[in-house]
Amino acid sequence: MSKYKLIMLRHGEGAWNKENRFCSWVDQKLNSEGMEEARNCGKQLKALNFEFDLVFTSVLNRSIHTAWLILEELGQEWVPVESSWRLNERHYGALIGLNREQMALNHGEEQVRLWRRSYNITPPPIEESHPYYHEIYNDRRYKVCDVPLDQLPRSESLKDVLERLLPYWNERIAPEVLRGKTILISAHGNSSRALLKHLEGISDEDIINITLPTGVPILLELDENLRAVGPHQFLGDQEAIQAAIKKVEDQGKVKQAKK
Amino acid sequence: MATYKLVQIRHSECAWNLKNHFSDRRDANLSPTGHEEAKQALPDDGYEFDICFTSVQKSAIRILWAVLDAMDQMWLPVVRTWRLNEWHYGALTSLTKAETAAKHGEAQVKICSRSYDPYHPFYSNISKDHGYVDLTENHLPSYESLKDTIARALLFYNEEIVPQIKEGKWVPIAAHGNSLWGIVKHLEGLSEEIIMELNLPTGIPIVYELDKNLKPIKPMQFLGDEEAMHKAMEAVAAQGKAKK
Repeated sequence: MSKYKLIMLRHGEGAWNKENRFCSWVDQKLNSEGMEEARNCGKQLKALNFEFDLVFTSVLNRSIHTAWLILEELGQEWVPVESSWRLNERHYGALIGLNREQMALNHGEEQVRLWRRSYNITPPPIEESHPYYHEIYNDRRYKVCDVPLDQLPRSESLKDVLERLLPYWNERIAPEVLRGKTILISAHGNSSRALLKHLEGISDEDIINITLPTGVPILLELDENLRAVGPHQFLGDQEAIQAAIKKVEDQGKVKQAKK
Repeated sequence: MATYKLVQIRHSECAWNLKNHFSDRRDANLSPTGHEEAKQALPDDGYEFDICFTSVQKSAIRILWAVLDAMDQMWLPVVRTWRLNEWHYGALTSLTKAETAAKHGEAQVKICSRSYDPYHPFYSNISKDHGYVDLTENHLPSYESLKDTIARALLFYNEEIVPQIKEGKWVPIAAHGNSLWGIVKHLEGLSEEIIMELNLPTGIPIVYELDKNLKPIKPMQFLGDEEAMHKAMEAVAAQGKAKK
């Protein structure tokens, strides 16, 4: 029987989403479509009369900006926002910045799909020679984390994401849910998937088939043990949501006809 | 020699200021000029903040967000508190200053405190606002004198902000004219009469360099482009001259 409700979402589009590149820990900003997606998300939640008590985001701008835009739409700018690297997008290691379509041409669609959607396959780690290595690890936000800089990931599988996310869920977020607080988690595709896997008990095999659209509020209803009472629900126009899911799935495919 | 730095930003113009209404706890939206001011607020010259403080009113929160966005420090922790809110004008909320003068006399426009008439149309909006739900009836003021505003802002500064500064943290405070008065009055040792005449410039960061006892080593400085800085300095100086 549902006792608690939780809203999570995947931030809206950034420039690299459009270019079909693995953005991961690179701090891309939302583009104008992404900002619009965030505002629409906020309007959706306002229409449903959500009053949040607490918002959690990653330390990546796009998730924070999404949360701010949603709070603005709701008129709830005063709600405390807490940011943690543990809600960051999955670290794609050496694949960061690479175009998914190119990778599909080089390695095959199936390999790309496995890298993107498998549970425990880790991409090759990012090296110092990688063009985005220093942009990431020289940033001050990673020097004030609850683990030292050299212990932060250099590459992750979805399993790794859940392993570093779970302590944060258990120690920071879950207690607030248990206190009856209405929580919004503004995160990323893979960090949201990892959390859903844990809360809904989705198997390692089935998680491959779960795709989350951008900028759509995801409702999860939890029992008194913080287990999902049913599958997650997307809030909004269902046809538009299915189209958005397909758009994300198609990113891994080679285009059939070139312009 | 400065041991610490403290940055304050008074929220920019908002629609209420423009119409010359008494501002208050209801959340006014920033005017278009206000957003522009906010974006140009802090130069990208190495200000690395550690923890930010602001009120629970959107005007202050949004200017802080604009600053953090411009400085690529959106990930910083932000503490929001009603204790940095603007002065609560009680029953004068929403009256224009002209209406107030007509009703209560010119002198009362400067210092007023009236208790809330429970039938005042905005009373229920503010006291039932979800943002204040953690406060009990006793804690939530239904009106304040300026002295009350300054006192509760200063209390928060001493209890919550000073410990952060003493740990060497760089702290921006985004708040309102009257609540920032509490901190400025304390830092500069100004009298009640003088602080009330001080019109802090809006949307432009104010920096204090503090010694190890958290006393300013020089007068407040402003950050921004040259023209904005000079305008702000002249405006503050002119207020001081008018007093003499």
